[in-house]
Amino acid sequence: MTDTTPTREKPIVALFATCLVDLFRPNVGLATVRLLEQAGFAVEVPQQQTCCGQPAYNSGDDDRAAALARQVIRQFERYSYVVVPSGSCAGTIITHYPELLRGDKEWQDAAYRLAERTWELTRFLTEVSGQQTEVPAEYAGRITYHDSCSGLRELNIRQQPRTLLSAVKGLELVEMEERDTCCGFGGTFCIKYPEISERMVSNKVEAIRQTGAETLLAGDLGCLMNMAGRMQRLNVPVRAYHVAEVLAGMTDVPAIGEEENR
Amino acid sequence: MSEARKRILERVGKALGRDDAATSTGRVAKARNDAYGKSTPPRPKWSDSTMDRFLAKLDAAAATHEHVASIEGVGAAVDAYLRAQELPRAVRVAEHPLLQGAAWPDGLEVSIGAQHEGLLVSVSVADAAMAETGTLVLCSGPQSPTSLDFLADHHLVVLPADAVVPYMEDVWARLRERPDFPPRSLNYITGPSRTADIEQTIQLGAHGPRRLHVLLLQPAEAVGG
Amino acid sequence: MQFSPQQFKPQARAALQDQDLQQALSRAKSGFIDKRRVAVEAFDDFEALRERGKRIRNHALEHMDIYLERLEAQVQAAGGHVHWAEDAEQARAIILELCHKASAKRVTKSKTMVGEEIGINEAMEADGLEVVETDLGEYIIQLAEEPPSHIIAPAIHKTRQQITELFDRYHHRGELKKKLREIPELVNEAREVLREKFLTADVGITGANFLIAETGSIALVTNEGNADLTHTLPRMHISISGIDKVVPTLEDASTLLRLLARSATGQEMSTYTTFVNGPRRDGDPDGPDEFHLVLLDNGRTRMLQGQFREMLRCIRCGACMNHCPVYAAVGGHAYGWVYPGPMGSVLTPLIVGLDKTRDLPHACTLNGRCASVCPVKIPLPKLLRQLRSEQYREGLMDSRNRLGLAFWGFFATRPRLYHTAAGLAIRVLHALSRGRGRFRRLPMAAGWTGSRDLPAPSRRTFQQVWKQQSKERGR
Repeated sequence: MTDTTPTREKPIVALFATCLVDLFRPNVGLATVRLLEQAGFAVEVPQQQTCCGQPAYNSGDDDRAAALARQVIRQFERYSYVVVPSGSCAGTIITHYPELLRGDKEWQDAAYRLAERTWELTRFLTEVSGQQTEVPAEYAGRITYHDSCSGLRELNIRQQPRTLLSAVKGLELVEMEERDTCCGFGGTFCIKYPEISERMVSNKVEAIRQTGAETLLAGDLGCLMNMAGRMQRLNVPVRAYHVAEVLAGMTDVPAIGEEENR
Repeated sequence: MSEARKRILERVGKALGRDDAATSTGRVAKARNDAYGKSTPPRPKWSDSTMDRFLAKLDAAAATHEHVASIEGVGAAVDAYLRAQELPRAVRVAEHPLLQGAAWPDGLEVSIGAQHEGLLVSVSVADAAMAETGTLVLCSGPQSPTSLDFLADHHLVVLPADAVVPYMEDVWARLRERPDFPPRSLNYITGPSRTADIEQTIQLGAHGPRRLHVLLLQPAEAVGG
Repeated sequence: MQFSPQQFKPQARAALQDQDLQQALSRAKSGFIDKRRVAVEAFDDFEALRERGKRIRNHALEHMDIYLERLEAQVQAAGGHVHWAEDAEQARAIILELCHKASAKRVTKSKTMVGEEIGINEAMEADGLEVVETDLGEYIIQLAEEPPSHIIAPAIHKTRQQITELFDRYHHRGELKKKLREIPELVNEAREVLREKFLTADVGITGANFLIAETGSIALVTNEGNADLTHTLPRMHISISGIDKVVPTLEDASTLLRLLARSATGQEMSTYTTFVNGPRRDGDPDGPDEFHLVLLDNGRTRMLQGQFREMLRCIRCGACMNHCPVYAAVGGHAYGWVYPGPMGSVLTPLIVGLDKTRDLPHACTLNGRCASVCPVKIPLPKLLRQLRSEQYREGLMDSRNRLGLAFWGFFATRPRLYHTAAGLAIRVLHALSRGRGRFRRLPMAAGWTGSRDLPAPSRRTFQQVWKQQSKERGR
């Protein structure tokens, strides 16, 4: 980190790290911070953040999901920008909070306001910060990119990560067949219907393998853990990173699920 | 079952929050207009002439066609088709006034009507056609038995060139003027019968005609280029 | 009609093991998807077409009572009869009575999903009638005594080998035939067998793709021409339709037909699109003496009322299932009833009840691909989630999931406790992983580790790392 003291003029961005990043892969959070700082923002990480509530929402447990939505709104409503390194968590806040809290007089407007100010990381970098061409990272090798479903279909994220990656030195993008087909993660789906999920992720791994890429990137840690875990089970030698890690030049850590000190 | 009718319509009315006053025809028409009815629907576009588009799409639908300069020529064209396909010289023909002018060659067995026995080749007349998709439109009636369009192996259709219009909406506009509209069976036919029910492989001649051949009735001076 | 949506999980497992089925499914998937894509790309503004389709269907639903009454009056004016059925039982009774009236022995049928929904084949067969499905796919599964596995390609799960064996058994009764036959030969054989049935049927039963209020027309769409032989040749034509199928005008139907053909098979127009108006008229050389339209409710008015009205826009094209990765993995039979895939996972619970269909709304990753191709923009993932919400409210979610959610929710809504517990938990997990970076097995995550490794957490949470870095950087 080069910049130690955020100056007052710098606009502030709040980072919603997501629970998976918090628990499983801090490096994605750190990479996101670095990217935002490089783009000229000061980053704050509200300490009380936990989860966006998506597991409850997708399970139909609306009350619990609403409780979490209110918690997130309370924690983040004072910021002009909230950035999330996940299409599905950002999608929950942007698309589903307003639906969930519709009719709740006290909260529905707040839900809309937060939705308007919340951004998925790659969209924020390409559409708000406007510095997408100055990514200084390097990554030698062929990569392929999985379009995670929520980001793709709820937030229209398709070109943004590719635009950012095109500026990474040494990186060659090879698109896979059916790049926009679900990997079979689906949150609790992969636990509730493990056999179906296995078939879906196996198809996905086959498509990845066909590209000959050495690295798989995506914008959602859940999907990445699913695909990486399946590739490791099948001994497919493809490494998996979150797109933020590559963009920030922070691939000096083991790839997802890789042993330490390799 | 009129009780069922009453209850279903009551439930529909309740679901829609109806009060009885809200249901005048005029209001419904206005609601339709406001929702979408004023604008032209999105449709396929093309730059060729209507006829060129029609013929290209007809071909894409696996139908064949030939030009016939006058109705008298239909008889000879049909006969030539039978010979080319090595078929018996026998056709079943719709009792259509236009076809009365077809000069059937000697030796060609022409029967009229809707009976099914031994039906291999039929000849009927299209009431309209649309360029949008290369589709023929045939209306059932005394002059046009529907079964002729479906039971024959080879369906030959006489199409007056001026019956070809650009879009389905144009077909409706044209047919609505007829006193017997709508006919019992109004058939849009796009190519010969087909199925893809076995291993997704398209196979022509599922239940209806294996071949659809259009005799485009187009006076010589009207044929461009 | 087989009814086993409760058995979704075991049925899905069996489907995944069925090599013939998997072979058929992999062929089907690319075929439908590629053809649709080509047709959609060739259309200048397909998005605008979808929007118009949605508006037409919404308007029709919002004025359903008026359009149904108009439709009824027009059918009657054309000399036809209209019957109303509140549920499957009433619909079956009406149809059986009509068949008796026609002294019917043989009934030909053109594919109707509503017919499957009300179980009309079983009822007619139990009544001593010979029922012949005439759509080739439906005919094949009728011989196999199976339900359809797809709403527009009912025998999509069958291989050519299986069809050859079926035809050998039923058409040649034990005569020795060469084993695997070519597709044209099979199609021709079915054509010959069924032609005879067409010509001798007493009653013909069709569904209806659309009902046109303005003219009282029944729109029928096929590629084979079987619907036309079914409604033209017998003495009586009965059309069965859900009340949701009504649209205002022929022009509105035109827009919907443009959407239907492209979305279903990637065609610009199906081979045969027919508008039927009543029975044979004076002077007509052919056509049935009687025409009957049976209008079915069966849960549709309930859908009209509530938050699921949008589902009634459905025009039964099958695009949602063609693009569904779960359907692609398990096929249609796993869903256990008439309507498979995303549209079925919404419709089935709404028609037969949430308690009998617990898995259906959950057997979906909410990836949204179905909604992105739906020709009338039905928000299928949203509706599936709403069903989950209803299930949860009604206590229909299994206790394990419910407990899991409660456990997780307890911590997630108590941030301090959450971060303390999370910090501890991942330290333990990290230690357990012994630097290997992942788990091959983890008892509490067996659902995950059954088929994939679980990446191990780092030593510390992001929050812990961040706090330390912030301290070091003096912020």
